[in-house]
Amino acid sequence: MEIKEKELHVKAIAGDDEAFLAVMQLHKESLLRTALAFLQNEDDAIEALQEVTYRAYKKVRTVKEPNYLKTWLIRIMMNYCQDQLKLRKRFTANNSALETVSSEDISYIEMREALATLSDDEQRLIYLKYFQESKFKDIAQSENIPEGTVKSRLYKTMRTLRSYFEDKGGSDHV
Amino acid sequence: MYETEEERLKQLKERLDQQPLPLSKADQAIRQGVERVRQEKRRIRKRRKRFLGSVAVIALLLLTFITSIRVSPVFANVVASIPGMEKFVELIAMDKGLNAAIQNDYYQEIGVTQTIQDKTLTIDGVILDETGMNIFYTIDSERPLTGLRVDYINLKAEGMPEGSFSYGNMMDEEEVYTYKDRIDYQFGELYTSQDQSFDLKVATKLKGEETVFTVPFTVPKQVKPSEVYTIDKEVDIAGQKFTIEKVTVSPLRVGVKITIDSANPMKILQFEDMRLEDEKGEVWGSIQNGTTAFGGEDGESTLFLQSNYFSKPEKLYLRINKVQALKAEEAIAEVNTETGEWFNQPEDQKIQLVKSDKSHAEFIMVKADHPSFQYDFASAISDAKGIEMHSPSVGMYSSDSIKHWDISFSPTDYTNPLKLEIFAYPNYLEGDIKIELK
Repeated sequence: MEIKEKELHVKAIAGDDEAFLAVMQLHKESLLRTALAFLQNEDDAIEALQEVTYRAYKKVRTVKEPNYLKTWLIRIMMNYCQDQLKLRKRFTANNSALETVSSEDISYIEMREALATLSDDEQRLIYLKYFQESKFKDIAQSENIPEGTVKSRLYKTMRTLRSYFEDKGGSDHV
Repeated sequence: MYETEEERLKQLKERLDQQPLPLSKADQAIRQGVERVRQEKRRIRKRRKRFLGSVAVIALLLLTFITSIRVSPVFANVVASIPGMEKFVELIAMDKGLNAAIQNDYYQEIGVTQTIQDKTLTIDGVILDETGMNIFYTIDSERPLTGLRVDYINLKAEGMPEGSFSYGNMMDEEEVYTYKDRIDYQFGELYTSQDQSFDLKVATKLKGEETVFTVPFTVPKQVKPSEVYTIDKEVDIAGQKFTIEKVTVSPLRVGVKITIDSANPMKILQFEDMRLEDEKGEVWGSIQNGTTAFGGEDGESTLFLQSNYFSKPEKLYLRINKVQALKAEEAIAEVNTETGEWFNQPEDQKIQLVKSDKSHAEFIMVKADHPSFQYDFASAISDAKGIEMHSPSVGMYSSDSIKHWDISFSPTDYTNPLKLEIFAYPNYLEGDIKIELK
């Protein structure tokens, strides 16, 4: 992490409002991408960003390690998105905006379907590892589990994904 | 080892990374998020710092609601002894009337199914009476149903009056191959038929794929008739008059028909603690999960309570000790969303307009003052020209100490001030109304 970024993180955690806004600016793209990946809808992603800012601003002082502030933010976002997806299931009336995937080709849709069958924990793991390209060490810290567990869980998750494609007969792996 | 999967994930990531980001809207969202916290802090400081330092837990009302259901072991046993019923225990645990209907053998097994491709819908059973029907159904598949949602539901029968219904359930995380739910369908008026045949349509969507089930079924045993108590008695709570017209006791629910005197100086909003009580002090309160009231014109409405149909008490009373009410001139909030003014805001200022513009208005209440106040804030909304606003979306959520109502308006070409009919407000009138039904 750059010195400047770390400095901002430290200040934000200490309660400096300007630093907090700067931190949000710094990570807004990652947060938006996270929201879009889960919610697949721009308006919902914007709303998610507002809510995550709100939650993060209230709790930022509780972050212990400045290095993990970004993963901490991403985690709040993922939790929020997963809650929203559960609510969508219950309030079907709000779902008109869900079908925005028409232009994606089949392979992406298949992958999304496969990911949707995973548990919340597994989805977060895959997201952090392959979409945020986080290090095992950072994931371990963010999910509060040992690094070895992260690796074995990821391995198991990949196996689940593979068996999903095998069951579908749609995969062409060797 | 999993190169293929990794490669596909990488492709998906690249795809997502190419998506353009709404960055200017994002800046606005960040500012709004920060502003929300600041406003809360300001508001909290005014309240003598009582809530500073409390733990910030954002609770989504419905989620807490659902996870906090406790099922009594006795009841669980009774339900489990009815074939196929055990899986619905948590869907009925919150309603004493439903519990009693099941314990008194009033639940009828149906067992009709329809299979479309890999999905099978089964109507497990129903509870039918003159006021409506509870339909218990299951969708099974060999493929995981995670993400399944019910788009719409329709119930048809010959001569059946239009009604209202509620449905929707969260999927069990462990049981991904089964979706189960209870549809609570309520007829607009009492309804019975000779053959008791119905057509249920359930449209589901799973990952963009729509499946529409249409299942005809017949309910074998005839419904039990409702018991009607005609009361026609005017009562008074802190000077506000209303008439209890009649009480209809049916297996699924109890309907209390009332007419509120339009000459009252205050408008009664909610009968929060209306309940039935028997000679032993056992209480049946309002419906927790389903339709709670039908409103009519001229101050006439029917409120629904949990049913005591099967309990056959010796004595039965209808009791009311408090109602929510506002001065008539405050009952319709007049708000200018451009200037942020609420012209006829109640003096107690328990609910405040904290932020507004043409597309939305945010109202807040300090939760600790009225922790159990879980209502929508506004119902019908119209503009200065009397044009009714179309389906404004209302978000209700809570942070640790503040309850929010976020109302969106669209389109935004309306004329201020807006008129919002207040649906509920934490101002209470107290009294002691006790009417003997038998």
